[in-house]
Amino acid sequence: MTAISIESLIHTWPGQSHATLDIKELNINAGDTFFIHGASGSGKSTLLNILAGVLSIQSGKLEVLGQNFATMSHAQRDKFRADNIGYIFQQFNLLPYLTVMENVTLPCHASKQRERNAIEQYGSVEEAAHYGLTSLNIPKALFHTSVMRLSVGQQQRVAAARALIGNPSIIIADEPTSALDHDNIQNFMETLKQKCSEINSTLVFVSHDRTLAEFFGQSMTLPSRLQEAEQ
Amino acid sequence: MILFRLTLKSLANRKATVLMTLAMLVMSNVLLLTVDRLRLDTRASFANTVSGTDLIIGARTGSLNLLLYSVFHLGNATNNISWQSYQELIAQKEIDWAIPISLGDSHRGYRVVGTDTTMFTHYRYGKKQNLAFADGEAFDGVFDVVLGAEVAKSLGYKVGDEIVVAHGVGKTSFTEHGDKPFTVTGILKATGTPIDKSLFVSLEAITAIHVDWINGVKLPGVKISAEQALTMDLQPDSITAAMIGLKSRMQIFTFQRLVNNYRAEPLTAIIPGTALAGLWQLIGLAENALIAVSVIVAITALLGMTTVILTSLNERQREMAVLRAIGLSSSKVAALLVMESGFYGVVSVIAGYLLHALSILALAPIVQEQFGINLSLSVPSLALSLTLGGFLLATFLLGLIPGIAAYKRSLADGLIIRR
Ligand SMILES: Nc1ncnc2c1ncn2[C@@H]1O[C@H](COP(=O)(O)OP(=O)(O)OP(=O)(O)O)[C@@H](O)[C@H]1O
Ligand SMILES: [Mg+2]
Repeated sequence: MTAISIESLIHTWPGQSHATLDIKELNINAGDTFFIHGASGSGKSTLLNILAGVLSIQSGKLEVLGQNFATMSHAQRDKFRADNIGYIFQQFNLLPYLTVMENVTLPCHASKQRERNAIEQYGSVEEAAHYGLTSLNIPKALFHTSVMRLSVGQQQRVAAARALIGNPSIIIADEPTSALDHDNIQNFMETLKQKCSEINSTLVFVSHDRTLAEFFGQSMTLPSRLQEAEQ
Repeated sequence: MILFRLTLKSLANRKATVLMTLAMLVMSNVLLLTVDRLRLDTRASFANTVSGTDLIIGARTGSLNLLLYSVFHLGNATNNISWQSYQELIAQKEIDWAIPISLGDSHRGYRVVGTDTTMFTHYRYGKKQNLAFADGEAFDGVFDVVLGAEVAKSLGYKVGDEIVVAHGVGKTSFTEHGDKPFTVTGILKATGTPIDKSLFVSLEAITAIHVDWINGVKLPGVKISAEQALTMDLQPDSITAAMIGLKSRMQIFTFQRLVNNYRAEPLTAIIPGTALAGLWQLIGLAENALIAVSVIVAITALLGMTTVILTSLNERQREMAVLRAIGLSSSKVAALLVMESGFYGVVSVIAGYLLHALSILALAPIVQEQFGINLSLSVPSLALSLTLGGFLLATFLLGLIPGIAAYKRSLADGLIIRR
């Protein structure tokens, strides 16, 4: 089953003369780990925003888990994202005014479905969060502290725990390792992949760092259209 | 629910800014509430002072002027009514009762009012209440004095004490009638009117302390003791004003005309309510200016609050992106900002009221003493309630400005944060 399928997707930001994204075809199978490589400015974040339903499709076709995003309203896509997508940013993933636990359980407040999943599997949302944090090597002592006291590596792992809670079908990661050192990257990548396969999630991961491709089943490169246009 | 909790926690995370913004809004509410209170209580204080008096009679003067000096003890009379005219007028068949008033002397800053005992039986204030004694009884002898509640309280006098009356008014009057001390025979209960700040003696007493004075100056070499004074004819030559009750209210206008056209000397009769209306007009101007200023302050505070929230949007882009990423819609992100703005509104109105209440409680005694206005704690007037409601509504509506800005930005930029 395909998790994501794209056909002639074009995205042009307002005020720009050239399309940032122009993807003829892309299919990502459910349960796959998919790596998208691209230079800075090649449109990686733009693509992920479209996949997450945050940005509307300008032209072309996009189906996520069999849903045609082009025909869905903003509100429908927001609900879809809450239920089915876990999103990890490059950094500053966490709300500074919430504790670690509050940050991790946030998606279960935004989505009944993910709350139900968490309760079915672990008995309660808190238990699910405990499990997730523990398996991502966050010491129990930090669970109820402010996220501002975490190291960058710990913050990214808490962000991963939040993306994974309630078993969303798709995990989208926008260069989550770029602020980490080498050892932390290895550790983070392995755990993230393992956790995704545990819950049968599809992992879509973008980075400008080509060497990360080794961790993934499939990969593609986004051409830097801006530079092409300039040449 | 989650939005509400997020709003509160986010605000708690920005304590310094939030507290300063709240302080600004709270102060503007305190100002609105206090100006309103001051306005209502000033009117009430004036309106409560005379009730049940049909006419006030004095020498020919402006009606507001007569009202102010006779009842509120503000300003001084320029002329008096002769005793003879007074006697003639109160002998008319329409008259039910009359209270003579003779002003001009003081005791340590408090006015001494020469009158007779009808003062204690017929003067009415507030909701047509009569004066009542907290202690002692009305004056009887020439050198007896009855004290208003505040005079007794602030000067610490008791029934039986001896006091000395000074000529002229004001705290600095130095020419005292030291040779003729008075004995306190009674102390009135508090009324919340200028009565509390007055001392009452008989008209004969006023004459007695002035027997060796002419035109406000003590006659050199002439010395008449209190005992001698008592043997003299103490009937007054004139009084300052008189409060009059008629047998029927229907006769008010007729009797007023009679007084105004009185041939023996130029006199004025005023209906207290009508004269008060003139006072309201005068006060109204000052009131409106105060209200305008406090409304402008409130508007300024609201604009300041909007600016604070708008400014915070930039540093909160990450926060918004995270909330969007977990599936909150753009309108919920906007709602977050409207709630924040509304939070400022609700908290500042409540805190403003509490602070207002505290300051009223703290200031009431001082204002009462200095200006004779009874500040009371009570619900805001209808107009002010509407204003506060408008203020609350405005905070929510103004929250739409940052709300819509965040909404548009989240739709346009998605989760991409550009600096
Ligand atoms: N909100 C926006 N409005 C206009 N142009 C934008 C907007 N967001 C991104 N762009 C443009 O789109 C292009 C691609 O941006 P995008 O952030 O998708 O690149 P990226 O591959 O994620 O880069 P990076 O590796 O630096 O994150 C850039 O040229 C950028 O200027
Ligand atoms: Mg990017």
